[in-house]
Amino acid sequence: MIKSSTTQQSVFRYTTRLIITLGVIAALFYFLPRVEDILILFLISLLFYSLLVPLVNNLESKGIPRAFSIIIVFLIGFLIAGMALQFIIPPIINEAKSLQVTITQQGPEKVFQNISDFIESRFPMLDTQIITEKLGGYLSTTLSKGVSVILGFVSAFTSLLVILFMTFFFLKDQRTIKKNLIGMVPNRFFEMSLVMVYRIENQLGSYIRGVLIDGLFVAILSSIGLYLIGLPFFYFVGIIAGLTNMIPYMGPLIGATVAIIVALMSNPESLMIIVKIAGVFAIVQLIDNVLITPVVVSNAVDLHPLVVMLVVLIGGSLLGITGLIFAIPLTSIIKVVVEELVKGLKSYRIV
Amino acid sequence: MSSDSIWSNIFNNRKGESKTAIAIRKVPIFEQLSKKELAAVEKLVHTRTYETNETIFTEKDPGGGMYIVMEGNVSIIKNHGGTLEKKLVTLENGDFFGEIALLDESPRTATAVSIGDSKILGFYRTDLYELVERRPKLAIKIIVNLARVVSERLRHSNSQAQELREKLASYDAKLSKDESSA
Repeated sequence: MIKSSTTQQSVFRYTTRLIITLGVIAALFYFLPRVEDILILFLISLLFYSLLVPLVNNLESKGIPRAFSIIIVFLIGFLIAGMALQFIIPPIINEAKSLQVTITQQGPEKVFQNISDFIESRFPMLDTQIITEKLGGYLSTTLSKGVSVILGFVSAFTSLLVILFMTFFFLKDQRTIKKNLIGMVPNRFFEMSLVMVYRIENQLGSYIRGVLIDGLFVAILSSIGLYLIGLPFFYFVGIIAGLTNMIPYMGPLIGATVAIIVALMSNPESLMIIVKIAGVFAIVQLIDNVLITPVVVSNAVDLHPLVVMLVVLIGGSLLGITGLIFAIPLTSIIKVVVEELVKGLKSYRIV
Repeated sequence: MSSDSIWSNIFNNRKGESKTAIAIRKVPIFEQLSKKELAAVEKLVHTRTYETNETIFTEKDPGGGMYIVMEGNVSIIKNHGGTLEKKLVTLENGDFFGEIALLDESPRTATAVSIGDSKILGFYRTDLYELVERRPKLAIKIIVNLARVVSERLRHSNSQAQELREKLASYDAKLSKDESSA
C-alpha cells in the first residue's frame, strides 16, 4: 500500500517535471523570435563580458579598483574601436551599402540570373530554371537581410549604449549577481551548484573567448586573401567568413558561398575567381585548423557533425541569420552545462 | 558592567564591524587581514541558514569549502558502515570546519549536521580561486594561514601517531615479555 502510494507520488512528480520542462521549451519557442532583438543585445553583452573579464581581473589583481579597471579596459576598447572606425569601418559600411544597393537595384532576379547564366554556360546539363526559382528568392532575402542586420547594428547607437551598459554591470557586479542567484539554491544543492557554476563559467569563458578570437583571425585572413585575389566587397565577405566560422563544418562553406555569389554578381563570366576563392578559403581553413584553433579554442565542446547540422537548421528556422550564427555557441553552452550538471549530480550521488 | 566586559567591548566589537566580519576575523585562516581585506572576504562569504537536523555536507561527497558557525551548533558525525554512526564533536559559535576542502575536492571525511536552527558562513574553494585571480596578495595571506592551520593539524596528528606507536611498542614488548615468562 505504502509502496504503491510512493510510486504514485514519484509518477506524479516526474509527470509534473515533464509538463514544466515541455512548457518551458514551448514558451522558449514562442517567445524567442519575439524577443530576438533584446536577446541579441543580451548575448552580445555576455560575449563582451567573457572577452573582457580576464583583462579586468588582471588589472584588479594589480591593485586597481574594479570599477577603474573596467573603465581602463573600456577606454582601451574605445581607442581600438575609434581607430577601427577611422580606418576599417567606413570601407566596410560602403561595401555593405553598395552590396545592398547592388542587390536591391539589380533585383534578386537579375543577380540570380547572372548566377544561373554562369551555371548554364559551365554546366549545361543542370536545369538552372529550378535553381534560380528555388534558391534565388531564399538566398537573396537572406543575403539582403544579413546586410540590413549588419548595417542596423552599426547604426544602432542606442543598442551600442545598452550593450556597453550591460557589459559594464556584468563586469562590475558579476560576483554579486552570481552570489544572489546561487543564494536561491536550496542547501542540499548549494555546494554542488557553486562548484558547477565555477566549472561551467570557466569552460564557457575560454570557449567563447577562443571562438571570438578564432573568428577574428579568420575574418582578417579571409579579407587579406580575398583582397589579394581581387574580390570586390572583400571586407564584407571576410567578416561573414569570420562570423560563420563559429559554425563547424558548414561555416566555411557558407562563407565561400557568399564570396562566390558576390564574385558572380560582379563578374558572371569568370570561373577562375571561384577557383581562387576556393583556394583562399582552403588556405584560411588550413591555417585556422593547424595553427589557430588548437591554440585558442577549447576542445571541451566538440559536437557531432549531425548535431551541428540539425542545430544550425533549427537555429536558422527559429531566428534566421542570428539563429544560424548563434546556434552552435548556444548548443555548446547547453552541452557544457548539461555535462557538468550530470557530472556534479553523479559526484554528489544525487543521480 | 565589569571592567573586563568594557575592555572586551572596546576590542571585540569594533565600530562599524558587522557580525559576519567579527565571525570571520576570529577564524585563524583569516588572521592578520586588514579591515579592507576582511571586508573583501565578507563580500565573498555566503550566509546560509539550516534547520534542525539538516545536513550541511555528507561524508564521501566532494568537498567544496569551509564553514564557520555563526549561530547554533553543528554536529560532526562519522559513519562506521551501515547505520552505525559516531558523533565526533559538537561545534559552536565561532568554530570552523571543512577547511581542507579549500585545497582540493577530496571526499568529506565526515558528515556535518545542524543541531537546532543555525546560521553558518560558507567560504568555498571557488571563492578562494576568485581571490587568487582578482586579489592575489589577499589570497596568498589566506593560503599561508590555511597552510599554517593544516600543518598544525599534521603536527598534532604526527604526535598522536607517535604516541600510538609508542603505546603499541610498549604493548608489544609487554606481550612478548608475558609470552616468554609463560
